[in-house]
Amino acid sequence: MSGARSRVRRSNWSLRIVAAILSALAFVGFWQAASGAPRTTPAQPPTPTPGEFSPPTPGGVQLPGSFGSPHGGTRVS
Amino acid sequence: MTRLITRHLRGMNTDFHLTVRGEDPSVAEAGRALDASVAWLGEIEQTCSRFLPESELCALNASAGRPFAASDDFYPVVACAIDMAKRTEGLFDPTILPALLAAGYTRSFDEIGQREIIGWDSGAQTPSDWRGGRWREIQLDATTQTITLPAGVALDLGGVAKGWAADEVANRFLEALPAYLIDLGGDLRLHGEPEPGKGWLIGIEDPQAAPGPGGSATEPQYLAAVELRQGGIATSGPARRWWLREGQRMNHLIDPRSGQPVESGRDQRAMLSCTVLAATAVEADVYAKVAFLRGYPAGLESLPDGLAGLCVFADGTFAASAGLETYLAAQASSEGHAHA
Repeated sequence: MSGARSRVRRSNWSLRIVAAILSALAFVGFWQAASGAPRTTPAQPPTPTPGEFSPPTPGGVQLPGSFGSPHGGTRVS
Repeated sequence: MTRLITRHLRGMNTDFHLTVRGEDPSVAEAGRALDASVAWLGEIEQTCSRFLPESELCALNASAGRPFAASDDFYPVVACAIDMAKRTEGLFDPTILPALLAAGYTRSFDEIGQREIIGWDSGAQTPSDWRGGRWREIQLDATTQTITLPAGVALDLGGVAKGWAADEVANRFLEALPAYLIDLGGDLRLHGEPEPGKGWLIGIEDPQAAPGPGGSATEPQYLAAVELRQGGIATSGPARRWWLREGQRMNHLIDPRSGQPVESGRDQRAMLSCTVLAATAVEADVYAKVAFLRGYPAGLESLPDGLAGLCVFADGTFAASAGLETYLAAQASSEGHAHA
């Protein structure tokens, strides 16, 4: 009888430990979501700033400030 | 002594600028070549305009269903348009006139540009009437210079005429000169060096700063520039040639797959223009349109070998084709001696 009671007591402790671990994990997840803490995300290519190329400026292309007055221009037609 | 000689004129509802390098003692000869070019450009507009009822193009469209004997100037531009349709598998389609009319482009851009069109004949054509790909049914006979349009087909040469004309001016009138720059409404053909050791510096205009109808009232704003010594360069996008039809924004870039004007994207990554560099102005002109229709990145990735391009987005950034750097490096080493 006492052996059976002891097994029940051990089983209860095991359940309590598992529940505590799950609670801790749930809390960490909640905290990350709420605080905006960094999570692993796929790498994103950097967004170029206006006037820049993506990928970086190919050789031969001149950006404003590096050229004077063009002889002519191409435009949407 | 070396100097640049220029001519400016208005044609095909846009601005034309011709510049050549003249050298003593042949400066007068360069001037005469320019004058001949100007005169020919005037003639070719009379031939190819769909807004001039007496033009050869209008006569051809009126004769659909039976053979039409074309002039020496007119046959080549139509043949060129059909050739470009073949090469682009129909993404450039000169038979889009009914779709243009359905979109409201019934009069010259000087009359309808960037405002609500008035007196639009909505009964003339409906978008659902569009049937693309009929350029395949056009019959050309080079021996007799005869063109036969199928019944119900009408051509618009607005997508090819400027580029073709720029190449023709180069080949017919300016080839003997050491350097020239032909700018027909932003479709360019050039050769040589305006001064020893330097190519032609060509700006790529900001599509968001595109002026309204009637030309360039303000100084053009350039987002980038490239130095070129031969070939053609052209840009396509809906930023300049648009109008309102019943409050809806329309533009002249018709997608032959749908018969509808291309969508003008509104988000920051929307592509606003596509510039293409090629051996000739007409290739640059046509492939710039095709690249824009294909969108980014497919438009740049699918450029044929030997062509290069770059796109401009609404947020002011660019994307270049993989071959642009190589293309420009070859231009730098060509030193203007080889004709394209």
